[in-house]
Amino acid sequence: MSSELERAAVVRVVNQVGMHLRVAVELKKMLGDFDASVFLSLVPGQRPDEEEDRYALEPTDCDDVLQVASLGARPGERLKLTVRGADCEPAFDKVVAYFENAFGEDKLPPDQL
Amino acid sequence: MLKLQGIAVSPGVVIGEAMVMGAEGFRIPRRFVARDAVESELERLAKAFEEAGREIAESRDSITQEIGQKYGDIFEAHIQILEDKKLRSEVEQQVRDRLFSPEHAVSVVLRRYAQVFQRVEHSYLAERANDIFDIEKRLLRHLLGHRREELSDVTSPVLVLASNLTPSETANMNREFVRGFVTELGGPSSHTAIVAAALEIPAVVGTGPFLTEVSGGDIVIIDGDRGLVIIQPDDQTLARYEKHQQQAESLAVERESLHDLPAVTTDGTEVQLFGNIEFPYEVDHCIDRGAAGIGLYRTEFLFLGEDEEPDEEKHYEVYSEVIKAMQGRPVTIRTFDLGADKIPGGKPPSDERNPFLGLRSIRLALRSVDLFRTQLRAILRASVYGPVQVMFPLVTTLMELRQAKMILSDVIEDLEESEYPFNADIKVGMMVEVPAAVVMIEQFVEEVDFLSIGTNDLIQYTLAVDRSNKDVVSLYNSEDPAILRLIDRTIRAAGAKSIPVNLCGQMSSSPLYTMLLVGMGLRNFSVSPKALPEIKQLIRSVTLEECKEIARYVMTLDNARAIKRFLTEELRRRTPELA
Repeated sequence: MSSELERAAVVRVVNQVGMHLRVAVELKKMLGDFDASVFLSLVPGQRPDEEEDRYALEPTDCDDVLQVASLGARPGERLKLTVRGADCEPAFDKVVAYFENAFGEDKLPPDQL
Repeated sequence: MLKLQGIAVSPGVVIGEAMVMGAEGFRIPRRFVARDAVESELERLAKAFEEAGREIAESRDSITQEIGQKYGDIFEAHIQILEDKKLRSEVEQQVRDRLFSPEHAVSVVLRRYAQVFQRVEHSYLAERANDIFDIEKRLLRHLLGHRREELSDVTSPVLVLASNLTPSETANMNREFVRGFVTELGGPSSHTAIVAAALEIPAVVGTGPFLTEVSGGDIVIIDGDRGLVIIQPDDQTLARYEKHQQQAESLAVERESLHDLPAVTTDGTEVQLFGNIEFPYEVDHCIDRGAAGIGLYRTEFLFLGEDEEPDEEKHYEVYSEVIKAMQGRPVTIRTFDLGADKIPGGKPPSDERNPFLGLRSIRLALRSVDLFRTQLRAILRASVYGPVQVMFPLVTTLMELRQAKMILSDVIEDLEESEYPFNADIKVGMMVEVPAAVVMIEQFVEEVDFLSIGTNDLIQYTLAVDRSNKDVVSLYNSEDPAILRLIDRTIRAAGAKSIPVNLCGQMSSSPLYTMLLVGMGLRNFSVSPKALPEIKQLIRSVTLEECKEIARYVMTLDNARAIKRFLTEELRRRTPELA
C-alpha cells in the first residue's frame, strides 16, 4: 500500500464570475490546517484559445494563490482536482464541497451550466 | 518589433530609450546587474517583498478595523500574492539567469500575470489585473526607494511613454532630457499634444493600451509625422529612420541661415511672420528663428493643472516675462479660451453634452467676469513693457464683442484710479473662428483694431466636423472651398477698413497653403515657431504674381480634393523637400 494517500476528481466552477482571486485566497486558507497538497489544473478541450493558456493545463499548487487565480477558470469550466497527503480525505471533501457550494456565492442558473 | 498607430500631434522623428511612466508617475527602469552582484540584488529583492508584505498587512488591519472585513480581504489577497512561491521563484530566476535588475524582473513577471488576467474575457477577472499592477507598484516603490525617478529628475535623454500625462507631471519635467512623448490616451488637443508642440518634440497620442508590452530601456522610434510608434524596431526599420533623421537635421541647419533675412517674395512683397506660443519658454524659439513678434499667445496653461485660479500677480508676472523677452516686438495676448476640452480644475460641467457648442471661451469669460477682469488687468499692467494687443477668442455676435470691450473699459477705469502704470491705448482685436462672425465681418471690422483668423475652430464649425473623431476626420479639410471663401471675405473686409488681419491655426504653419494665402492677400502669418524657417524659405522663393495666379486658379475649383492635389503639385514643383 502506498505511503501517500491520493484522491482525484473533476470539479466544476458553478458560481457566476469564475474562480477569482478571493476564491483562491479562501481555498488556501481552508487548507491551511490539513497535512495535504492540493493541485488544480484545467481539463483540456474547453477553451478555443487553449494553446495560449497551456500553463493552465499543468497542475497548480493551491498554496500559490496567484497561480490558482491565473488559471482564469471561468463559470462552467471543469478542473481536475488532485489531493495528496495524510489528510487527503478531509481536505478533498472540503474542496469538493467548496466548489459545489459555488464558493459561497450565487450559482450560475441551471440553463447556463 | 511592435508597431502602433496613434494620432500625430507634434511632428518630427526621434529614436531613443523608453521611459515607461507607471500610473503613479515614476519610471520603471531596465537595468542589468553584474554577475557578481546577483546575490546582493536578490537580497534587495527579498527585502522589498518583506517590506511590501509588512506594509500591506498594516493596511489590511487598519482598513478592516475602519471599513470592514470585506475591504480588508483585498489586502489579504495581495499578501497572498506576494507569498506565492512560484511568482517569487520566477522573479528570482530573471535576476539570476538573465541578470535583470530586480525592478525590471518584478515588472516583467508581474506584467505577464496582469496580461493573463486581462485576456480573460470575464470582466470581473480582467479587473484583477489592477491588483497586479498595484502590487507591482508597491514592490517597485520599495525597490527604488529614494532612487525613484520622476519626470523632473531624469538625467539622460528619454522618450516618455505613459498612459496619460497630467499638467503637473509635464510642468515639472526636465526639458533638457525629454525627447518625445507617447500616450495611450488623449486626442489632438490633449495636454500632452500642446506641451509636445510647445517643446518641439515629436509626440503621438491615443495609441490605445500598449504599456504592458514595453519596458524601460527598450529602443523606441516616435514618428510624429505619421503618428507611428515602433517599439524595439528591427535593424532595417532603425536604419531607415536614422537616415531620415540625419536628413531632417541637415535641412534644419540650412534654414538657420535664413534667421536674419526678412520673409519677402522675390519681387519684393513683405510678409510678417509671427510665432504662436503657449509657454513663456517658447519665446526663445520665436526669437531664434527671427519671428516678427508673437501673433498668438495662448493663456490657457495658466489655468490648467493648478488647483487654484491664478491671481493677478501670477498673470502679470508671466505676461511681463514674455513681453520683456520679446524686446519691443509686438505680442498679441488672447484672453483665456477655456471650456470644451480645456477645463480649469479638470471638472466639466455636469450637463455639457456638446462641449464645443457649450460654455467655452469668450462665453465663459463673460459669465466669469471676475476671472476675466483679473486677466485683463494683468495684461494692461504688463503692456507697459512692450507693444501688446489683446484679442478675444470665439466671438460669435457683435453683442459679445461689445460686452467684452465694455468690461475692458471698466478695467481701464479701475486701473486709472490705482497706482499701477499701464497702457490705456491697447489695441483690441478678435479671433475670427465662427462662421457667424465671417457673415457679419463687415460690421465687426468697424469695432476692432485687428482680426486674427483661427482656422482650427473655423473649419470645425463650418464643416461640422470633430477632428478628434477618427470616423469623420477625413472630412476636416483646411482647403475646402467653403473655408477659403470665408478666409477670402475676412481678408477683404479687413483690407477695406485698413486693419491688419492675421491667420493663426494649423493652416498657417503648413507650407501647402502659404502661396495660396499670400495670393489671397494675407500679409500676416502666425505659425508654430518650428514652422517659421520653412514658411520663410518658401516665401523667399516665390513671386507675388505666382501666388496670385495660384489663388485665382484655386478659387475656380469646387472641391477640397482637387484643391489639395493642385496645391501639393505646386509645392512639389518649387520646393520638393517641403511637399
